[in-house]
Amino acid sequence: MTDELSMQGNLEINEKEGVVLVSVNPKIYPLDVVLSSAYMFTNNNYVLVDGDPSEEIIVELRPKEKKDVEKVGREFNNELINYANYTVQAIKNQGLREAILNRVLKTSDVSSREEDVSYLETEAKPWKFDPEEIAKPWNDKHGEDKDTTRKE
Amino acid sequence: MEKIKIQQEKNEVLVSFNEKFYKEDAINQAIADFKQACDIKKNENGLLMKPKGNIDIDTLGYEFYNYVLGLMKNK
Repeated sequence: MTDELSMQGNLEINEKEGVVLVSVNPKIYPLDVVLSSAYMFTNNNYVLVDGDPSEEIIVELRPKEKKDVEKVGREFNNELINYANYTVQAIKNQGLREAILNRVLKTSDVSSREEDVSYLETEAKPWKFDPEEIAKPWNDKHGEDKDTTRKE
Repeated sequence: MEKIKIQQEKNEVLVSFNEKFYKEDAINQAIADFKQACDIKKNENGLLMKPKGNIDIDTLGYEFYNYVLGLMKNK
């Protein structure tokens, strides 16, 4: 290891070249997570992926503009955690998402509406039992001839 | 890990890929998309890229790598 190279955890930093190598354990972070994180970094960095997908994945990050390469490597570690968490949550919520989607597709299907028709019909029918005469219009009950409270 | 060799005197870049990560169909698609910007020849060591116009030879190989990664992600 020369003076330009330094190791910080899973980072191998080469300040002179302006490059950082991030070593990733594929047993902790699956390849999809690594590639998704790497893709996120392509806007501001040149990214190369090398190594062995079953043993050790090495991601080379080379900022397009002069930048603290150690910080770039640490941000990549954060992005790995971010994507790993997203993937875990997506797997956990898969059943719920499918249930919601099924429900949406089911309600848009005309044949499945039959069960709701009886409810709608009963709502649309006039009320048979109305002792308080709630269904009767206000004018019929308290029209001009019948209103005695508002006389001046 | 030297996947990109820049040969300034020849104005060429030799790019090699780890095929365990980079899919061949994505590389082929990227070659087709980069045809307007540079001449690309495939050989046993990888891809030999020669820029056509006023393209920065120092970044050409890296841009190609980023592009292949983007193609793989968006497939």
